[in-house]
Amino acid sequence: MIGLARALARGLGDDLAGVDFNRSPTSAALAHSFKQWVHVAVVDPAITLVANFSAIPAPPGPVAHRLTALVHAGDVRGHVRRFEPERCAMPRGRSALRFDGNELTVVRGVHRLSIDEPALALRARLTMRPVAPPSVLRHLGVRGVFHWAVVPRLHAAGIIEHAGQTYALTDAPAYRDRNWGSFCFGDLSWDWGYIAAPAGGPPCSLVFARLMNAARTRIIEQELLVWWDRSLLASLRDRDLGFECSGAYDGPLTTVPPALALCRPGRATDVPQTVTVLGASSRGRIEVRFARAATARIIVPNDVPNDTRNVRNHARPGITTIYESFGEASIHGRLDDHELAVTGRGFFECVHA
Amino acid sequence: MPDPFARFVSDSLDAIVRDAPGCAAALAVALDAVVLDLVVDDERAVVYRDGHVRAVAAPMAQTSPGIPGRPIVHVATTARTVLDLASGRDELLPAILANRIRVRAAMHDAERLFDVLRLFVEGNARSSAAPGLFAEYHRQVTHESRRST
Repeated sequence: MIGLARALARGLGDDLAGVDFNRSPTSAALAHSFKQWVHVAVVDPAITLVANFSAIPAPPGPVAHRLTALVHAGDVRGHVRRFEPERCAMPRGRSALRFDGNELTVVRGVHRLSIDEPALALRARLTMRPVAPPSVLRHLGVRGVFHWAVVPRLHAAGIIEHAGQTYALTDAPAYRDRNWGSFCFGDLSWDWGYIAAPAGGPPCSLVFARLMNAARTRIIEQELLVWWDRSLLASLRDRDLGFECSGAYDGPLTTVPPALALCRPGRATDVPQTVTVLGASSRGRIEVRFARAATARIIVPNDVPNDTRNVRNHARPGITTIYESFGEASIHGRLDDHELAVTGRGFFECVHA
Repeated sequence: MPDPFARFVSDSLDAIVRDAPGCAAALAVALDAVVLDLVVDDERAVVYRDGHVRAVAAPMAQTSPGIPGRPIVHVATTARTVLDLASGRDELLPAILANRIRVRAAMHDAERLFDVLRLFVEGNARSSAAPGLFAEYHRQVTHESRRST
């Protein structure tokens, strides 16, 4: 049995190695806006940890390597740290990356995440084994192509220490993706989320996303993918889907980095209290509901060039707010022969430029 | 080191010109002819436009730090409030309503203050020098506060 599990992990690891590796811009013309980040989430009932390793151009200097960490354990706390280039390793063509003492590696199909962020009172040592195959998606953005390689479900084990508490995890659901491509913050909006069935629950995971123009007057692309056990059960796209958001959160928010809250004063947001995604195709019907429990926001400066005819021109002022919501989620419906009735925890991100 | 706030603002403005020229240009437009008279505890800094936006330390005893003929926005606060705003422990509107920040100006000039503040923060977010400059200001004012207690 252990041998079989190892063989499965190795097989999934081999699949992953073909899609999830450190990229570099393939077009010199778009290199100024080439962005890449790896997002890992571990969703234990007692604590959710999100770690985002990003490499984003910061003209006139070199690429800026940042780690953004969010922890949801009752309330949400967050932190972002930029690292000197010489303290970072993100070798092209490899999956591994290291930002100072924070590291994410993949060896023989096993992912290892180490986080040491004393400013957030956070330390994590986790191993994660994929239990569903990776998928790659491509979005056509406003100025380029944006790619997304997702490992929808892993089982995480290890410890997370946060704010004086130690959480021991066994087979906690986890999620990982890598995003890369050329686009500017300020050009696009998106809604994106994933749902993880609890440990011991149905072997189901789900992601959904819709990419829009900055004004959100046009949907560029939308999709919903459902995995069951070790295979992709269904993917629904574009006209197969409808998104409905209701309510708007107007309470206090943790802001990362905190000083940028001064650029978005007041409490008004358009963060939905609930999100419903309805899908219907020849495969069947599905209804996904997400109910927000806690939200943090990450604020990043826009990098849309001041002169769009000269993309190397300096960026015009403006910021993008990335709202990260944690909550409860449910999946109901029927796709092919699978009856879906899943409840679990979910994560919803909206970027409404 | 004297005038830590004026030095922090002045060095940050230089960094914004270097690292975020779009924000520097927008800052100059937002401030226009207005002069900001900023009093933080027992220190005064004057922010004005001379090509780019610049900041200089001014004596506390000076009654009108303005440049003749230019409108002035007077702001008084404490280093503690500045640190709390930067760390997210305080918010701008509650701080003003509770008099932790006092603003005295014609309404249309006060509006410029908020645009200038927003662009100053955003410019700093684009500058690799900003964390170091703020850490130095934080170190100086907390050190000063420890010495005086």
